[in-house]
Amino acid sequence: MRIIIVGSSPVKTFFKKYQLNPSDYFIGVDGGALELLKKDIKPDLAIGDFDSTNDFEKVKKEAYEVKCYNPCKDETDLELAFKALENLKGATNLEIDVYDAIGGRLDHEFNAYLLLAKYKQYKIHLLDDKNEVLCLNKGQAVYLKKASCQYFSVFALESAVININNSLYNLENRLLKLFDTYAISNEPLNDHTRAIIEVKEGSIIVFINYK
Amino acid sequence: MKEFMPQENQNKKVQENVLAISAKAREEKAHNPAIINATSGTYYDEDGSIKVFECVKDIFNHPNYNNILTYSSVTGSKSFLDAVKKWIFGDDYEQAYPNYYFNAIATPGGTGALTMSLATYLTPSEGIMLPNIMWPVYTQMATNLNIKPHLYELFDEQNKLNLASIKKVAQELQTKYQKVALIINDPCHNPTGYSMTKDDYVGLIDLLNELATKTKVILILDIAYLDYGHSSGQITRKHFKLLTKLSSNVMTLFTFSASKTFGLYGLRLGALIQMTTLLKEADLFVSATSYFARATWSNVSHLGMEIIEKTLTDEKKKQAFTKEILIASNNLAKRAELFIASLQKYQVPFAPYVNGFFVLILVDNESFENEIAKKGAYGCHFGKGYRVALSSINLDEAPKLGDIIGQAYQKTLG
Repeated sequence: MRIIIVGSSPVKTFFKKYQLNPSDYFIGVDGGALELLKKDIKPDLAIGDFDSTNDFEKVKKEAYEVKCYNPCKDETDLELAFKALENLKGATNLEIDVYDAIGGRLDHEFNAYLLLAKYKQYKIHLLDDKNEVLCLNKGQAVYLKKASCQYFSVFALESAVININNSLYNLENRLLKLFDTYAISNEPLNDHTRAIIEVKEGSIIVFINYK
Repeated sequence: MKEFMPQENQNKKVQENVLAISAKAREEKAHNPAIINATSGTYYDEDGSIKVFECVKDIFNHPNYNNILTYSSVTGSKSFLDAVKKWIFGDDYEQAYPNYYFNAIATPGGTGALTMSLATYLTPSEGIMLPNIMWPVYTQMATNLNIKPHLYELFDEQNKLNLASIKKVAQELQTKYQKVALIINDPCHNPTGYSMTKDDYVGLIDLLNELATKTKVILILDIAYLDYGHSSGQITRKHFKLLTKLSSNVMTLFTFSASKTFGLYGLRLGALIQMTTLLKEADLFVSATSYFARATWSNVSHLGMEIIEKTLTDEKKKQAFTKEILIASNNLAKRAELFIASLQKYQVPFAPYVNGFFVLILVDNESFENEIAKKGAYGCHFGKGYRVALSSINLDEAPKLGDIIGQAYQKTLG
């Protein structure tokens, strides 16, 4: 089971990219609930203020659970979805794919990155057609194939010590501080071995650009 | 004229004849040891006495009256429920199933657990899917709650779980009730002795996930005979791990029977266990089932819980019990082997048997049954067949009974 969260960014990736696994758990964030319904998937949870939903009645009718909030609130709808993860047992060990949360308004996109960092206890992947963004904490690693990965970039969420191997620019126990930008635009080295990004201390945000 | 009893209750009659026939056979056998009593879903030892596990004797030899005679809590004791969950899902179940809540409540037997599951998750006028070959009390439980039974074919042409039939009936329920609920009795299905294969489980999970894209699905797994399945239920326990592939829109409810596992038939003890990933559903289960329990049976046998808790929380006692039930389970398999070999000599048709207490002879004929009774053997007429309880005969009787049934078959139908 994965958790699938669908937002309402104007850049629609979910509809094109997601392959149905019925055992997944689906959260529609505001207009994302209708995106799920377009693929004949009933949201397990529809959440948000629904101020950008043009057919809230349909959402109310089809979703298994609807949590509707006043638009005058502190949290963004996406944060409400992340907060709702605590209602799923063991959500911290499940993969969470977030579609249609980036690629539109820059403030919302920046908000999504901040939330990724704020909720870094979860294995969240922000996805669009060509990109994936995720956090890695101490002891975690990600493996990237040259066949699919064009570039990858790494930034610190706090002071971190990292290893990067089998890449164009390898790093060994290297300190990566907040606002350091030197780990941008790296590439897996060859087809035979996968590039490995490992976090020894602290936590980082990884941007992966796919071919 | 107004009557004391509403008409719908006046029409309620117990359909099951098993307990009555069983009492008759037991009484005859008391006077004539040659009588073969294959009626009872109770495990009897080779000497014809009811199986009493050592852990049960131990409690009766050292009773703690302050525990066993006092009221239990409505849900049953936490240590009993924890012990049962570990027994079913493994000592490490919290690590093995990190994404699931397992809430449980003690019930009077497996029957109490089944009734509670229907009463809690379905309303009158909704429907429940039941197999066409089944323990008839399922139907009574449903109709008693004004829940409509809808039958699915248990077996397909390959004598496997009939997924096509389950799908067809489930889709009808989705249209009619916007919800699917079904009961599956596994392993050691009563009355056939069928146990689901890994392929059956995988196919069922795929199907339920497909259905769950449209509506909520409730899978009630009646695991009353769990410990009499392959290797004392270890294969089925592995199959349970597959249930983690179910959508969160499928809720699994396990109905456990201490009657069968611990031989505590008359103490009436079981448990209803919910498996869900959703916190909200977990909370609802606890409150609604507690309410139901308080309003019906209030609380369950403290004596029964004490026996199970003491056995399963003491590693030495648990190991001794595990060994004992494995011996009983293996002995049952030997009875089945002898009985079926004998049936096969006469080409008597029977439902696909894998393991467990019962074999279902696929003959629906009064003369056939009378012929068996004339030879001093008793089984039970069961739906469109004749159920033989291997649990209540011994190894000597197993082939003899097979011969009696075979000869009756040849005489009346052969």
